[in-house]
Amino acid sequence: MAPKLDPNEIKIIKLRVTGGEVGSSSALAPKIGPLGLVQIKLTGCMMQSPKKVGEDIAKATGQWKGLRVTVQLTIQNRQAAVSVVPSASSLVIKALKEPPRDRKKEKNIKHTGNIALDEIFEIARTMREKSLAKDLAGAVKEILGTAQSVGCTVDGQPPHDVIDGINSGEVEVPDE
Amino acid sequence: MSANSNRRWERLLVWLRDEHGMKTGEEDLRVACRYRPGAGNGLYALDRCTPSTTLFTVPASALLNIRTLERRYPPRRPPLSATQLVSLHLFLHRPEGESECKDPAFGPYISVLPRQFDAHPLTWRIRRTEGELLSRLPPSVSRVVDVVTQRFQIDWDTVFDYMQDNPHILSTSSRSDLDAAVHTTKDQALTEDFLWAWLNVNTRCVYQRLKPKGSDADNLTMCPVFDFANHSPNPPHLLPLPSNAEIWGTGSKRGEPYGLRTPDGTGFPKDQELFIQYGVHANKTLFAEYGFVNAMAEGDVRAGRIDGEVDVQDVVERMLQDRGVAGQWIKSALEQEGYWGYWTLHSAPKPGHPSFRLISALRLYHSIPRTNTAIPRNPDEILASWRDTLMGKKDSISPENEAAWRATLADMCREVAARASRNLENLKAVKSNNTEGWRGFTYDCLRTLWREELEVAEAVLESIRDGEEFW
Repeated sequence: MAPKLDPNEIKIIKLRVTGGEVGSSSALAPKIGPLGLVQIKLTGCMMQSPKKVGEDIAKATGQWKGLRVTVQLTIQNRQAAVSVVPSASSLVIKALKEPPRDRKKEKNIKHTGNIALDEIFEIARTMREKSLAKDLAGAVKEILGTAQSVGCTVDGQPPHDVIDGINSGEVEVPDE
Repeated sequence: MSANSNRRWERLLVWLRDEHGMKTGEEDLRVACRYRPGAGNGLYALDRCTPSTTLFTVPASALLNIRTLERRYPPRRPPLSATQLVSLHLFLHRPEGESECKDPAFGPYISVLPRQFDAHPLTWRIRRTEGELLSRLPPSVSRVVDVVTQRFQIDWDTVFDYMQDNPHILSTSSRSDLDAAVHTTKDQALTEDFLWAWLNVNTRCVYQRLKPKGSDADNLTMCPVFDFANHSPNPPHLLPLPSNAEIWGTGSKRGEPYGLRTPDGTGFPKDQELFIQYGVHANKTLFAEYGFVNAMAEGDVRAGRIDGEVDVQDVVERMLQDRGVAGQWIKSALEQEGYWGYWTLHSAPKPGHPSFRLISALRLYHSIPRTNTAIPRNPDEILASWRDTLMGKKDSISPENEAAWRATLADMCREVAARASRNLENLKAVKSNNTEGWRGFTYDCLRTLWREELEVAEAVLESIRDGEEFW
């Protein structure tokens, strides 16, 4: 018998998917299906079909329609539970509220919109657990760095100007 | 708790504090062992516990595991496994009757361990008693008990051979009834002593990262105080303290302290019983390994409020046997593709449904006409079409195949439900005659196991009748 509280009984698989879409089962099957090498090593076969897991992923990522997000499959007793793993870039792009696009037709999308600073604070709070910053201001600066890479503005300014503002004390960041 | 149990608990705490330096003040040890009628001993909050609070920390030297025991016994190639080594130590220091354990190293801890396992199905197998109870087990539970019995036999054979090779270790025993000169054969009394030791390890050990590889089977420990915590399938559950070995993925050469904490976001009031979750196990596993089942109110499984699970391996195996050579061919194909076994029915999430593995096995079963008992003439073609359904390239083999396996599934559900109803009726007759002591509890477990089979089979049958699509 495996000992109590055995972490080996819980298998975690992370996948990058397009939110709200039911991916092709034939693409998912090698990763999670009973024949997939990863699966044989990790879990010794699933109880759900690749198609069912694909539907569950689409349901769980409904709020992220059209965006690339990371999902986590937590497999226990051969049953997979799907959850979205928040990432700074996904949250920033989601906050831009861009219209859904057909990813097959539109390539090299430029994210030129604007985000309110309060939304950046909110994203920083969501990502706080993953951040190594000692306070929320540090986490906010990390998110602003991501916003810079994404290509958007924050309160109408380039994100790096806001970072400078935080460093000089002109922009105030809440404690929590 | 009885006066004896109270005294042993107090003695354990003194031993942990004086011999191992454990902090047992009210800020450091926030739990106590208490007895609850009907449930036995459990771990209770001594005071209100806030979220993310450390409840206790047991020093590494007080744990029973390969790190604390390996230097006490001569080496062996290959080494004894953690289960074998800890069982050997308990075997050598089993307390006699109701007296205290005389082991100078771990005596106060071994004294608080359960003294008997009469209600455990492995005990019935080894003693060759309680044949009636064993005969009343659902086939899937019997199968897991077989596996547990095999594991026990292998460990007992290995430890016995080790003692034969190193007879001097018997002289380290604190028992007065063990004699190296006398115990050269495995008699029933010796086997039962080892059974007691092995069941203590099997039912009470907890995962602790000791070896560099996280999945190493030797990553287990027996931990005083912790092992009074009972199992509950429902949160909130206590969580183990973070371990350096786990964080750095390195293992631990000297061992590490072990403790429990309250989960983030959940506190507990004073005097509340605190639970852990042994693991996400089906009732068949819980019963065969630990001797209990998760309680299920009547109708909860059928309604999909609880995920009831039925393993139908015996039914499918019989169906394949009846198909002769064709059945053999299907079996070897399922084995080669990794689809042999673990065929289950589930009641939740609703609607009741078969597992994908069972659907896949039934699809292959019906890929060859049922009247055909010989190896098919076009095996590659059949397998290629079946593999396409496994790999998500096709949703089904053919409409005829879908209809055929659904009909077979319905027959299986009827068979499982009829078998469960028969056994529940038989158990009703037993109830009035035999409910004394642990037997009453065991009969309740048996009723739960059969009711789960009945309700799951009925839930899946209802789904088939409603035309639910399974995938």
